[in-house]
Amino acid sequence: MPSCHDTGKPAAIVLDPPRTDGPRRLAPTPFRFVALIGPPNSGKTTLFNRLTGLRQKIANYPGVTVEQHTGRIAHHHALRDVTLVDLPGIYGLNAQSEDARVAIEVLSGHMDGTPRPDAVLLVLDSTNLGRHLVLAAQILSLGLPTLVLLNMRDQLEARGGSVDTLKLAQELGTPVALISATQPDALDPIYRFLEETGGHRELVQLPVIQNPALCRDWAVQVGRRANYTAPASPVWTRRLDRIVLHPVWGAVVFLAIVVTVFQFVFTIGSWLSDLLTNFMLTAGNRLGALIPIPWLQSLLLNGVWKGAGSVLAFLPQILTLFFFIGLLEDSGYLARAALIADRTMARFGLNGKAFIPLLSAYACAVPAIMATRTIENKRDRLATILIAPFMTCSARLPIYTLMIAAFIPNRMLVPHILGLRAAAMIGLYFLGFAAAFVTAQLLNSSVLRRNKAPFVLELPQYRWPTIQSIVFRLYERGKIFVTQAGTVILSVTVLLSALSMLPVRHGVQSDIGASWLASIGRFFEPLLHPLGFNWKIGIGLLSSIIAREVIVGTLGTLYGADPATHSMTLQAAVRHDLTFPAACALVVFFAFAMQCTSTLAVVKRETNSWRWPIIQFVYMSGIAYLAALAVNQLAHYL
Amino acid sequence: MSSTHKPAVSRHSSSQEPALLPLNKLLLDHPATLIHIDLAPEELDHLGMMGIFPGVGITPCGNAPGGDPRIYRIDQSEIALRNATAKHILVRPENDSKAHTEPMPNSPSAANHA
Repeated sequence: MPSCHDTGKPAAIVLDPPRTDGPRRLAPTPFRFVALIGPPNSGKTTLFNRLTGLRQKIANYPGVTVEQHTGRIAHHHALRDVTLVDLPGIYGLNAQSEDARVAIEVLSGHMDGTPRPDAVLLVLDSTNLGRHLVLAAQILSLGLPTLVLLNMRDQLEARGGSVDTLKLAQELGTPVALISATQPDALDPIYRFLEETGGHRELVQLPVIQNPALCRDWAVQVGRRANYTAPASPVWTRRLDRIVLHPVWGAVVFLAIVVTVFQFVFTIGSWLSDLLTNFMLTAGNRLGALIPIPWLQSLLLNGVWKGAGSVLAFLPQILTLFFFIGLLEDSGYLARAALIADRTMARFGLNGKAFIPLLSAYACAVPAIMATRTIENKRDRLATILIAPFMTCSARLPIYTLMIAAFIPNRMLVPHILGLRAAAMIGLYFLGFAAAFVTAQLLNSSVLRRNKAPFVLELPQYRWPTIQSIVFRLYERGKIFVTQAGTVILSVTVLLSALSMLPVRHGVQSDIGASWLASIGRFFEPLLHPLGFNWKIGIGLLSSIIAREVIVGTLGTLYGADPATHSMTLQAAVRHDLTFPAACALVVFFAFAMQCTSTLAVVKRETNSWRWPIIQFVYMSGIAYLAALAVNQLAHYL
Repeated sequence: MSSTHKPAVSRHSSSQEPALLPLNKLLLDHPATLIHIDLAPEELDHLGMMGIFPGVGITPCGNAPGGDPRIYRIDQSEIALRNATAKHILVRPENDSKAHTEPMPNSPSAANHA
């Protein structure tokens, strides 16, 4: 780290010995490890994905990348040995948040298992150069060969801004390129920089980097000498914000988005889901007819195929949900939603920055817990980690959709606007949200009591979401879901199918009611009977400790193996087997219970202790049991 | 601890210059210069990295529906701050006497002004 000489005047930090005969070229250095760094939301990951051919998540809000990602440069033969590391966004080298600490440790060579980069690609937002050049001063002071990439050229030019990159390069003593990360020619200057060993570095004067005021003065002067003209304010962002942040219209827009998302999940998503279910049934029957051995046919068709197929059938609904989440993330609305929610969050002792991780927990708690790294305060971060699994993740969607479709009639609650099933789903989402906030209040008034933390959030401009970004996201999410169905869920269904047919007596497989599986289920039945659950649901709950969506595969296998229900659809089988109060109790149990080993593992990793995941598991499971008990008992009395 | 640029005058400044006032009381779309921040060192550092430090120009340009947090424009950035934080930041409005007498920014009339 550079030294600080806080004398009140800009002091020079000498990068190279003074030159005597014009610009001095460094000896060629083969780059092996190159860091991509820049302020949050400046387009680093877009460049990383294009350079490496990988598909790390990008979105339009600060703090999307919270850990380092590495990848080899693709599509360029001469640079195929160069490894790129995409670092979380930072505003400066003395940041306090966990994600910024990762970036700073990698840059300074203090990250275990990661070599110190031997060159830097510094990505700055050209529409906000006055502020982002402050980071340039800090990065240049590291003394590494650096290419400064001024991203978002299209927006700068469209709004009347300009910059003389040659003059800026002279001012910074390092190469500068003005690019649009999404345009085809954006990678050319990067390839040239890496091929030509980073160009030349000259003696430049940098400010005292620990003094923000001096850094800013320096940045303003450098910008002025590079003829930087700041772009006009983004007109559409201002106009849209007047609606989105309006006391009345803002709430209307927020509600309209929520209702639209769930209506689409239950109309388009369900329609596609039915198509897929019918296809799976037809394909299963045809394939099953090709298997001559009865027990193998039963195992593969009624057990494995129906089990895995019953989970895969929910893929369209999950992708529909992710399509809308992608639109919200890429457009820039998510940061506004955090702003709108901050007042409520503050009442429950949460930092406004917790909103974005909590919202991403609607997709999956694992990335959401990692996204809490953007929260500087440790107590705020821990509180967010502990409540994130209450938010309704997509793994709950299959069981919710199954139970709602089985027990809630398909009719409109508000004519032409909101169906009864969509309303029930919104209610379940609200239940998870309420549980999270009540828990936050409990934490805030007990073990995590503290003063209110400051909320500082940079708002991005609105942007049109790109089709490519949305398609990549759906592809990645679909791949995760299908892989899960093809590995964990398939393994569980094979095991359960086998247990449902064993023991084999005199060459005849057991009836499911007399199987080993039924014996295991009946062992737990007394504990679950007050909740209205029979042994089959008990087996479902047991298997879903691995991952919530496994229960649907398990029920598909169990009902497929049961002669009383094997010819029914899964919805009909569930309706045949459960009372309405028990069905309500089951979804309430799923709303509160911690049934995800991946989440527990990531909580352990992020808190560096088993203490918090154990507390979280016991607390959430206890709440789930008591709430399901209360719902089943009350529903019987009502 | 507070920022190094402690104001030499109280919130009631000389007759020529507008008085200092907390940032959360500055009217929407009224520019000011940031004079002093009275927050803990780690909060000062964080604000400094976001471009909020004595000497910068700052303009409130919007707010969340309830009036809190508010959005401030600094250079080309728009940054949201809670009023609980903004009240610890003193600014000098750019020769606009109205800024002292107008209602609080989270009042309905101020919201309409936006």
